[in-house]
Amino acid sequence: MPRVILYRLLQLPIILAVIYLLTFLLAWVAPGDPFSGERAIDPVVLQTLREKYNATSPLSFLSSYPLRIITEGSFGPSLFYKEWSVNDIIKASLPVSITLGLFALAIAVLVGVGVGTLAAVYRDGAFDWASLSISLIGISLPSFVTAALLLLLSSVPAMQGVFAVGSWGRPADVILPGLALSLAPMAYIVRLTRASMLDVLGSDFVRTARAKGLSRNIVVWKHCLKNAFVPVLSYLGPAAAVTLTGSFVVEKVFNIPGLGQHFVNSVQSRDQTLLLGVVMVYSLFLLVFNLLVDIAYVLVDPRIDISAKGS
Amino acid sequence: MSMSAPAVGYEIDQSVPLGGPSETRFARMFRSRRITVGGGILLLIILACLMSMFWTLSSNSALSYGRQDPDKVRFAPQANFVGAFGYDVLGRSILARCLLGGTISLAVGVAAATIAVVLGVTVGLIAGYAGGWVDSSLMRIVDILYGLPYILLVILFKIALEEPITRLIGSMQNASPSFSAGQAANLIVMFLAIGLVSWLTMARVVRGQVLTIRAMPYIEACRAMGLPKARIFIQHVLPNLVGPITVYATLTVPSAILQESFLSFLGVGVRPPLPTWGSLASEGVLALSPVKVYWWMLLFPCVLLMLTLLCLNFVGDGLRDLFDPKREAAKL
Amino acid sequence: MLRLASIPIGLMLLVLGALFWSGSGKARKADFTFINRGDIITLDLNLMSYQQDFRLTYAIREGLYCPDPETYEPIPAGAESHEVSPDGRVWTFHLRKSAKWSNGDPVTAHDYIFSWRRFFEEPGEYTYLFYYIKNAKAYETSYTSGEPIDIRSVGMEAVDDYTFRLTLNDPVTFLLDLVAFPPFYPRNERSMTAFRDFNDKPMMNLVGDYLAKQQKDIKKLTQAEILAELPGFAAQNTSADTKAAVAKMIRYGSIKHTYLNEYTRPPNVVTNGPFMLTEWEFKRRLWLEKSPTYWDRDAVHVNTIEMVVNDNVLSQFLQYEAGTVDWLADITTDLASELRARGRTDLRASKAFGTAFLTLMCKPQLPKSIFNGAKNPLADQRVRQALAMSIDKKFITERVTRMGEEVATTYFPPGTLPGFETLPGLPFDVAKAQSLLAEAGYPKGKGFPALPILYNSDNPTRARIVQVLKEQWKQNLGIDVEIESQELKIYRNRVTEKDYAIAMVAWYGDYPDVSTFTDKYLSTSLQNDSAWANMQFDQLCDDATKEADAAKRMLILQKAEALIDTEVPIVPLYHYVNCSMRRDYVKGIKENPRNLTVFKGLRLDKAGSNGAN
Repeated sequence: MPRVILYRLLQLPIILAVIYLLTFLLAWVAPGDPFSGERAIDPVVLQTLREKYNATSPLSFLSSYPLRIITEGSFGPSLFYKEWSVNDIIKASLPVSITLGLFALAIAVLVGVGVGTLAAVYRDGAFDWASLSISLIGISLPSFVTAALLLLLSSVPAMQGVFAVGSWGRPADVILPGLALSLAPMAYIVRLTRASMLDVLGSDFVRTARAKGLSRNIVVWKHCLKNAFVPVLSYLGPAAAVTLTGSFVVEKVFNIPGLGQHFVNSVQSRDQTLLLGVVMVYSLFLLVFNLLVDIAYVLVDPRIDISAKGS
Repeated sequence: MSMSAPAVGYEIDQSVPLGGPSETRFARMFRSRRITVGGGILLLIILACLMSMFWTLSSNSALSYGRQDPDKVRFAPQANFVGAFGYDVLGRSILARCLLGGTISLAVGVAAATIAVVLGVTVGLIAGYAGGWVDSSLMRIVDILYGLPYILLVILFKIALEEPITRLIGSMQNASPSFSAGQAANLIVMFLAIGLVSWLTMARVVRGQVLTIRAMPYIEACRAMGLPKARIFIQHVLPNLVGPITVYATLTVPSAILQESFLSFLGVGVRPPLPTWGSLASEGVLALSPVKVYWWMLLFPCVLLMLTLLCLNFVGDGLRDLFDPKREAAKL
Repeated sequence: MLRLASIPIGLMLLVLGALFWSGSGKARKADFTFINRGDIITLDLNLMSYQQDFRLTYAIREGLYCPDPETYEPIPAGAESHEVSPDGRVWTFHLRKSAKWSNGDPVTAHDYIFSWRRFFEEPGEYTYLFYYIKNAKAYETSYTSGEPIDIRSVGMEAVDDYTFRLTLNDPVTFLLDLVAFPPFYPRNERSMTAFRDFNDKPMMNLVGDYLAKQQKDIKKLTQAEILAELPGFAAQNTSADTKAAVAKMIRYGSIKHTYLNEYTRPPNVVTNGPFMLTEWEFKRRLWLEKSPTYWDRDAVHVNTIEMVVNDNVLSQFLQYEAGTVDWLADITTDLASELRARGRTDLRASKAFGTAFLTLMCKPQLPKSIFNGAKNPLADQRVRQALAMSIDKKFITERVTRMGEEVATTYFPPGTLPGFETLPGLPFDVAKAQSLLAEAGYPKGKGFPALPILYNSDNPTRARIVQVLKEQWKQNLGIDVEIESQELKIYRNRVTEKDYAIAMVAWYGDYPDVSTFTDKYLSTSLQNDSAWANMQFDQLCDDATKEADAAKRMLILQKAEALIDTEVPIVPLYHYVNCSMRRDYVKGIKENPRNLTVFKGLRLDKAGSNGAN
């Protein structure tokens, strides 16, 4: 297994490089550039700005910025927020997104696994339908609707002292956005847990355990959950990467200075350096988390052989 | 189905009771409450949207402003039919816009899902059958595409593709009163952009399924018997693929609809005045403020959206229960 | 089960704890908190163009003259007084000796020359304003080509440290308004040297080494000081190429360089205004403190200002309602119209120095992308006039925007500039419009192509307006237009590249003079999106530039502006209204057309703590 891990780690930079190139190509194809403002820009001014930022042509961009990543570890200055380097921006916003993301994932896993298991155990009963419907809000309502409604909740007079609107930094500030962010992963986790729990509940060892006289609770929560958790784990890999790098909607609605808003903002402002920096961070997270999940597979279920997992 | 204390471990591992040895899968579908209830509501909504298209598209109730009585702006729901859901900022009937929006949202969802299915199945089949370097390079590409944040991809696709397609359609000179080349192009780009981003999971699933089936003993037996490859494929492999494909296709539609609503929120969704549930929801969110809450602008589109997506998800789950009673292919 | 659940619960507690620990140190409230029009894009004077950037700059920097907190007319600030030559071309400013930078340095004439010179060597959006100065344009063009003319031939001169003389090409009656505008503010060169980026890095590295041997740090020397050292460097054992390059630099008196924008960020930024920028947390807040070195610090009543960054409309409003924010500088018309209907007294609305209008393509052929470049019906003036006269603008301002905006028949917002009156434009007259359209060859709209009307998709008000326009034109003229919404950048590209037929746009004036509006439609102007060319208009504008008498100049410009209103290359719809929410205890911020904020005059009238002294 260590060989597989090493192999995967070596592939990392190559995959990242390809993603970098692909994103860069897509960004260049999109019409519009980061320097044009609200008015028609003088060609001389445009040229000056392009030269200053090495963005006169795809070649000039590619010959200066990727090298800086390797030599200085810097993604260069943001083409739109000219005062700030992309590294500064990431340093300021990534910790915020991670904090919020961790909180949201914790809620999602806690509630999701709990509800999913109960839905499987009480299958097709009222609890199954009700809990599924509520927990599926995450994938049946757009996130901006749930986020906006939660924001409005915070403005209700009774709540006003507790949840300060639009600020970030106090413990109370993470609850509502964390809840909003957790709804989508929670929905997936509920479904996955329910489906795989149903699987496990039908196996022989469960029947044996019950026949032996073990209580229902111990069988379900102690023995079945470990086995049923595997698909949730494989979902958590990419889900963690997405959640920890921030969600545009939640950050916009709750005014949180995280990384998620930059995914969309950098596309809308055609800020190529920031876009590439953000995509690199996201891809890195994704690849690393997928690797961690694969390692965790082996720990959870020794029967799984990750070297045969293909991709 | 009435149990006071669910008996764990004593259940048969099927969520659907058997109806006898000769019952076909199709008939068994109707025994799944998930599918019947979910599918039923879904059918109702689809029929309502489609049947009313004649009304919503032709009259000015859903699309344009002007003939309306301007004093009706932002009126709350009324007792008559047209005003049942209230009116929006420009005096248009929300009921009409919800119905038309439903048609367009569902169209986007189904079209995008179709593109995703076609692409995903093709790639998955090729990867699964060819094996070797073709397989690993295709899966590597899928990995890399997974690594790009989809928001980005969709927006960039949309921005990059919109102009060329508009020009293409414009050159085919195909204008009608409510749709023009621009609107048609915009819709097509919508389908493409979302579909092009959603095929990845489908490809992985199909590839996994093909690999699993091909490794099964009975396929090996067929080969040993000398059956031609095509026949093995059509008679044995394909029927086993239909299950996962149907399930994932049904589950791609709601995700496509949600992605369209996100794009509408960003302002790069389906072009106005054509409504979609997503754009209606964004307008509703914009109208929210503690000063005066125009709740009907948000409530009705969201309820319809939620109902439809829930039903689609239930039907998908029900189909999944149906096709894989042992659910061994539940891993992604 | 509890063991498994302990992981997520533990995580949640960890997060809450971390936030509690990190957040407790930061709990402090500024005297005055506000939310600006948007996030700060840049504070570099060269690149600045957004209103929110200017607003903050008025707080931290000042120029020769500055807007008066009460009247918004330019009053002496960096300069104590000035004299003008009889022909109006030479202006001499006597600088205030007590004016200091935030690091204690005195503000001298050299600081102004350094800052203005940057606009020629690194052209920015407002470089064109400097063209009034003698030889400025020539210097800029020659510098870009690599062979700059002598910088001393440009009409700005430091007679001595505290006397600054400007020589202009033509008399500019509104020069004081210009120098009160941020692009004309000075900058402190020595504080920026650490962020200097030379174009010719290899050679300047060698110069740096040479200077290091003499215990001098190249990063701390001004350009003039480096130029003084260059002969010594060249005399060393350097190659012929290097000697030639150095000789060139000495001859032209300039070493090509740029500045990394980080110079504008604390703690390195050095400013000369009433407040200093002490903290800038990206996308969160900016923190300003009263400057202890400011010459007029006794007149500054507020000690700390916090600018909160919040881009979400709903969240902004909730923050204001909760009392954490004292002033919402700009709110959307949607929200404003609701609040107005409820009679909120803290809603402030004032006429803005800007107009919403439709720009019409006036070229004889349509752009290639529209009907393959067919004949452009809008090229005919009568068609444009018909379009203009068939819009019920009152309907739009009463039903769509609902902020009581003034219906616009002229391009320039009337009543916003004392001394200037606009002549009335085209009225709302459907019958006349129909007859004009018929005259032009499209009776009852027959044969008129369905032109696209373009707007940016992120603006919901425009989305509604174009739908109303479509209906009104259909009803009144019988013509069809196709609604086209595009993403913001694409929309801007299409308009500036003249790839549209009809588009919804807006224009705000930069400085209080008519030319900020009329210059846009000169046939040579880059901003002339309509491609409208009228020789009489160009001639009138040129005459106005050369006219020394202010009143006569206004009359000439009135005639020019009237040409736009009658030939309608643009169809004015309404004049904007600036809407903001301001608590009653916030004094010293007056609503004005140009949306200027002079923080110097800010006072908080709270009973008890008003932060004075």
